[in-house]
Amino acid sequence: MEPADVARYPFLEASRDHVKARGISMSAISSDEFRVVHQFARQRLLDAVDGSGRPEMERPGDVEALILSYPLSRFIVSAIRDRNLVKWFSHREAEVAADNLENEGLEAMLSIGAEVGLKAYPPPVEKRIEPPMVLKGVRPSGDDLIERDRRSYWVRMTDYLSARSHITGQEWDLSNQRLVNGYIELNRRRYIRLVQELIKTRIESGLEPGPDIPSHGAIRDIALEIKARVDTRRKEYRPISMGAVTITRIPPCMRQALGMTQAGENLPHHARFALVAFLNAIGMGPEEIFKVFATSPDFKEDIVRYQIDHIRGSSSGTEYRVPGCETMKSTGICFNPDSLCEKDWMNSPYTYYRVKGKKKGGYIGR
Amino acid sequence: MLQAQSPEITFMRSTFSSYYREAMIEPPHRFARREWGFFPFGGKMMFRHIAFRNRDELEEHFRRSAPMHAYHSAAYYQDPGAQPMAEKVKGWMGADLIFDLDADHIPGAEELGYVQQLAIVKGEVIRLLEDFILDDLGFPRSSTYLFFSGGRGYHVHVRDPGVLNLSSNERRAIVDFITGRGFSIEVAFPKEVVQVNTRFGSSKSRRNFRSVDWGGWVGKVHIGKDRLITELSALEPSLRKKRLKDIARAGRVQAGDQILSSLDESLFGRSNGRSASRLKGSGLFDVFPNNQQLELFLRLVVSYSSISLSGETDEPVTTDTKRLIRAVSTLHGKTGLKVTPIPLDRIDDFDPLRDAVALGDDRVDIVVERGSRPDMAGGSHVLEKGVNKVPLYLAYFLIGRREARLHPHIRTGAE
Repeated sequence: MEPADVARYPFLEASRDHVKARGISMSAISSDEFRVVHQFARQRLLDAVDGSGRPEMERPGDVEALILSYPLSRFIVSAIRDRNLVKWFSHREAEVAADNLENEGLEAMLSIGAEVGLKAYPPPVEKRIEPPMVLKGVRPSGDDLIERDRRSYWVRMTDYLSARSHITGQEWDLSNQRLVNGYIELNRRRYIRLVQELIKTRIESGLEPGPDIPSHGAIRDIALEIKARVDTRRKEYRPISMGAVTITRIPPCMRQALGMTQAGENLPHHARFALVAFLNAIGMGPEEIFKVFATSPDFKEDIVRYQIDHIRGSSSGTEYRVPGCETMKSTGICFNPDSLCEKDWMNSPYTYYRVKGKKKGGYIGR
Repeated sequence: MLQAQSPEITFMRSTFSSYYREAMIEPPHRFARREWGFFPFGGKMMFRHIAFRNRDELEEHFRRSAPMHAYHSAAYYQDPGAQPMAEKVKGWMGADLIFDLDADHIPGAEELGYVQQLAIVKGEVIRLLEDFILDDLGFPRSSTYLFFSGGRGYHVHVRDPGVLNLSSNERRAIVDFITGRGFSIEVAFPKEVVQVNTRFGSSKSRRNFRSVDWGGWVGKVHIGKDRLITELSALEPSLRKKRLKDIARAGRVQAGDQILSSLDESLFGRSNGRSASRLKGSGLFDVFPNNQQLELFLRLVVSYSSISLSGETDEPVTTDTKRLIRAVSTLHGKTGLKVTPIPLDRIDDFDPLRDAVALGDDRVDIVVERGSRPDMAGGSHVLEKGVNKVPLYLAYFLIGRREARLHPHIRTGAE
């Protein structure tokens, strides 16, 4: 692999070997001689915490510094020992790698995919000729690689299941896949999306709480700065106290969605929509709802605020109702239904909340 | 429930004791890595977290304790005998993928006899294997094992290396595929723009129904619609409507009588069922007057083509990666039948009441409330109301299923 490739995909085996071959220890790297490495690592981490831009190279020689900045950022993340930072960092690094993959050549993309656990295989069946894309009056749009690539990527079903484990949404359900003899057909976009998931898992898996933050030097300064940023982001958007809302009354689907959000996992769009509509319906204010999403890895403040306002009806004029159980089921976000959910008359998460409340109230009176 | 110390329990226990003194236990694949669990005769709870280092220990345990029910884990552990104070102690190393099909999950099975129940479950197992496990899911025959459960169903074990480490969530995804859950008409048969009018900014779209060779549920819907229409065409109109209703109920498809009737009308009412025959065999779904009927029909086809797995909602088998399953070559305490491996190409011929009979044919006097003519071990038996002398295997089967009692002279004579 060329150094430029190593820099784009620093989590690969070859990249680790590359760094190892240079034989630079963590203590050596803290010296001023590696100032550019420090800057890059700091930029990486700031980017993970509050999305403030990728490190830019100024000179061609900086590529080695960029490579070294990856293990250094990992070292700092381990030293800070914060679950959210681990999630944010691995999410962001994987996202950037996926962006790069979109414009990657076929061979390189497939070899990276295979290394993280999503090997592509030849089609298990003769490829059927799909109807031509260009229909009467329709012009092909977009000419970047991902749009032009009409190729199929067949992956093993079991690999697919492991990779998509944390992605929800109907378009990923096994029942809606082209599944032939244990292989699933993906297009380039979906293939990369799964590879991104696996990259995230790989980055995250090694980030155990590590050694203490160094007692002095440049790396200590960066670590303390990042730690402060992490604390600020968390404080600004502290996970909600449910206040007047009674947590035991929340239906399992919403509890799952809440749990995922607070654990810093991404929610599929439908689930996020349903959760906001639900929290709104049970009387939570926009600020409280906003804080629920603050730990999401893909948290973007203005977008979240817009979505909340939109669903609450303050920007669109229409207040969205909580989706019914049927909709929840058909969009694949009816998680862990319990015996109350199974009742014939149960029709929406909001009904669950009201009914559960009544039952309780009855007993409190005695 | 039979009393813990009743003569029947004593009889059953001593029958199993003599059996296990002689019989060979065929240890399951990697048995020393599995946790075992046993339910004793007259007992109230299962003893779990038992492990055997070798075949002798295993056989010795059966000789000594003659359990009513014997189970082992689907999972493999570093230390299978460790008490589960903390689950990590056992060291989970992966688990077979298990499918459990049992008569208790088939609607209306309670009204049928044992033989019919098992025939229905067998049909389901064949579909599970041919339409799912060996077909779309692509598991090789060589890592797929089929067992008669000794009771009222069949188990399929998949030991493909690809499945061993699947998490519970990932197993759930496979169950969802088999039960058709999550199937979305919008995703599977997407609406595609076929024409754009640039002047007026309008467009025309059409659902892409793809075709049978697309595989997955798209293929199943194409095959299923043909099977369903063939089946419905052979029925009287009133039975046809009842059948549609049953299919809707089984798949939890919400549809009132009225809309089912109009669907039936669209298929078979007009021009002598020409719509039905047009729909069958062609990839065209344009015989329905509106989208509502089309979607209902598709949901019914999915329900019709899916498999009901035992208790996946209340008592998960496939998705529980630590669950115990009945051990091969042991006896089922309620029937005396043996948990029997069935070669995949022999399932058609398999008859549990002939091929899973393991107990001997010593004569035993039993009392039955009403007469019957059960077939067992290749012979027909005539039972009259009152006292009958029958072979041991039949006596055990009837007593275990509480269809007979021991004759009083044995009852007083026993121990």
